[in-house]
Amino acid sequence: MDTNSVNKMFFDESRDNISKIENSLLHLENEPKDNDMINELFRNVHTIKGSSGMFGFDNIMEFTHTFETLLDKVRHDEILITDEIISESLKANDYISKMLDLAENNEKVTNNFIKDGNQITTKLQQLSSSINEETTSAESKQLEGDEELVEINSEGVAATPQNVKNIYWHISLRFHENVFQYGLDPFAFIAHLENDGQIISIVPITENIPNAENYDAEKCYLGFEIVYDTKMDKNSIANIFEFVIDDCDIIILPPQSDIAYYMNLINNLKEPIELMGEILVAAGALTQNELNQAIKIQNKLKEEYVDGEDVPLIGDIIVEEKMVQPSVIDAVIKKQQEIKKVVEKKNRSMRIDVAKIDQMIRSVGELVIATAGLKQLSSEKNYSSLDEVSNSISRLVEDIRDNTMSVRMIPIGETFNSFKRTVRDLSKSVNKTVDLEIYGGDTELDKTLIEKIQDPIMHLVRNSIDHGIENSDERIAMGKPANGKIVLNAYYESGSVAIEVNDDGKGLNREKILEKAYEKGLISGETELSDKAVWDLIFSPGFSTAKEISNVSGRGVGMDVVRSNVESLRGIIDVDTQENVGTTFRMNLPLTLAIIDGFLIDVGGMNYIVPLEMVVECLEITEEIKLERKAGNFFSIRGEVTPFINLKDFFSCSDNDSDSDINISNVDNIIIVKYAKKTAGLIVDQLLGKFQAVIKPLGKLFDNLKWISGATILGNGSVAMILDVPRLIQHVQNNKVKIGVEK
Amino acid sequence: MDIKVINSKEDQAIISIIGDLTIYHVKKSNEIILKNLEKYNTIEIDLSGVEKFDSAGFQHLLFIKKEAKRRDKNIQLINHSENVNRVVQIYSSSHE
Repeated sequence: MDTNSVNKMFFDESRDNISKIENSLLHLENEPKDNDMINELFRNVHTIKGSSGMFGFDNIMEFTHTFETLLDKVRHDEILITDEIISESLKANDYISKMLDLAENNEKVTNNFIKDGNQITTKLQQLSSSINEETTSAESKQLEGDEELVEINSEGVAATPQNVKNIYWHISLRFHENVFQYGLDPFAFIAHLENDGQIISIVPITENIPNAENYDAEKCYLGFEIVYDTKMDKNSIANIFEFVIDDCDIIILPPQSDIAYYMNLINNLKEPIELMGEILVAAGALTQNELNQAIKIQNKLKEEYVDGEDVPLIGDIIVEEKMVQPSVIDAVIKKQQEIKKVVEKKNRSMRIDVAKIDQMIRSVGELVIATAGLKQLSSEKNYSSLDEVSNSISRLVEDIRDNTMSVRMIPIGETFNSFKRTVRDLSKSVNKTVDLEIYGGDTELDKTLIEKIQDPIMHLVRNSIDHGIENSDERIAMGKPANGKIVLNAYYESGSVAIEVNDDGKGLNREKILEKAYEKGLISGETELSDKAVWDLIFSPGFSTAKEISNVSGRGVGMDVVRSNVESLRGIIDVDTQENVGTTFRMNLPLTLAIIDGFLIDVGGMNYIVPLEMVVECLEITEEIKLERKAGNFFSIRGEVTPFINLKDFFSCSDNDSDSDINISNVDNIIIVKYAKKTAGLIVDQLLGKFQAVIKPLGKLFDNLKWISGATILGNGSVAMILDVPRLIQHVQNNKVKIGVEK
Repeated sequence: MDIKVINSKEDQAIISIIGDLTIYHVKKSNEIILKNLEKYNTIEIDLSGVEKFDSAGFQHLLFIKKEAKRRDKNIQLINHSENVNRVVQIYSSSHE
């Protein structure tokens, strides 16, 4: 391996780490007490430091060292995470990322850049040395000894969670009286625990065994407090008791639970508190100190309720035990599973140079074309065993094609996640609070598409934050939640992937748009425009409603650029809006850019391809349909009004495409196509069947061809044009509008 | 299950349990032992002959010990059979 490829590996991995660090920081901003996340954050920074030193990027190593020092203190609870720490850390992370860029491109480091770095370093050092008062005082409290009470806030919950030292699970079991009669033996379940772990200690609870007068030897009065060591999660432990679950009360506390949960456990049991306390201490679940502390909290609460009211048990105060506990445990389990997942993923994936995959896809493309040639030949020769072979080859090639294409497909989730940071920073800079919600993150798109769609999404998100979402005061005045919301959503839809950027802001303003469009000379004063047509105006070149250029959308890019970006990917963009409810931008993109399943048709002796995913159905045009034809270019197909075009007329006399009386007396085939929720009919001469099309770009010369998105080579070596169905549908639909207005 | 007083003098007795001591037998065992607890101050229960032994048996033994204490009497369990030991051991593992 040469130095270059080793270096590339370093850059790739460091970038991975940088995005992980960013995610950790954003997570910690909301949940600053997540110790696992803090540790992961530290590890990732540490890795960058270590590997940059190893690869000789000393400036990166030195800078990262200061960053690491700060995080190390955070990790050891010497410093509490504050907003300031998060934003400085994000800055530091960005700076590392920039240093990586410079190093990778061998660019010279400017003085200004070094100055920036020094500023961040100084800030980080300041933060590292400012030992947090809260922690110090908490520490001194601990030093003062057992007598000190745990702080209690207004909800009665220990202000700082006090986790017990016990590193084992705690299981509290109380069997119901009828257990024996059901033929169940508690011993069987407890003995089973030994199979999947180790019982550290167990204390049988005999307190509930009554006196001889009331004792029934066939009833069960037993209970157990068990300290248990296992690698299982809570669900698996609970599963051991599945058969007896209806006939016993069971409480399972994870290792190092908050002491409040133990207090709660004690309160919820029938047995006297003092006794249970002793039992838990005897079992090793709690230390004597921890128990004393818990009882003090309880007593303090009792003092506060003097009026003879029922003293609220801690358990009741920390919301109902049954509500809180599962969520805490679920969180633990979720974390465990997440870690497991990540580990599995790591083991199962490998890094491959994109160029290699591209090469493979090109070869598969050629293979597909060659197979088509073979198929053509075999059908001409009318030689049945050759036919058979060529059929099975083309089936295999189809498999290979699908698999190869899927290599390039990556879920859009990561791209969506990267907008968390954007939304956070942008909304802060314009003094708005905006939450980002993400759906459909596992929707897969071609890698190239994902790279190219990032800018358009970014622009739409910026727009939403800047123009769409109001500030908190306005929102409250309108009766909306104070926090604005942006939703990123992705899903599959008839041969395309839809990506939506939705906000719950004020929506597009018809009057303002019209005013602006008139000002810019985009429309004449008298034109009556449908809402749809008005919204479309915002995509016109040179249209921008922003009165002043703000920090956020000051990139000098208009919506027209977004549209042309999307269209260059053979996609279309659409907008839905409702005043004061919000705006949704929807982009429909093709699933892939390289090979598609096509439907081969003949129009006037020329072959064309319609992408198969967009074909809804093929119809023979009966006399009946012809009779039912409405004025202009409409068919009524099973009661649905469907606009259509005759491709033959359309392509041979394109200067006449607005004619409203298309001749249909001699045609008999129509294909119904659908894209982005709109349908249209295409009249063709002949249907030739399914065909795998390798999309070949047409080159610069034909860049301006409007209705063709590419070309492909057929089995016999001739060329077929691939129809740009999305644009055709738009055209047909627009014609429909025109005709509708004329009437 | 066979349960009987095998040896008694003055206020002491030894009761032997032979066979299974499970949910099917605890009722009978309970009656006999409680009855003897009225006659004797100290009872030793010989468990060497116990075969099947379950949680009901375990609870039964706990109960008679507790009950004896309540009445200021004394019950000793002696010669635990292997089956009894297995249950008692798991039920009383301690961290110390």
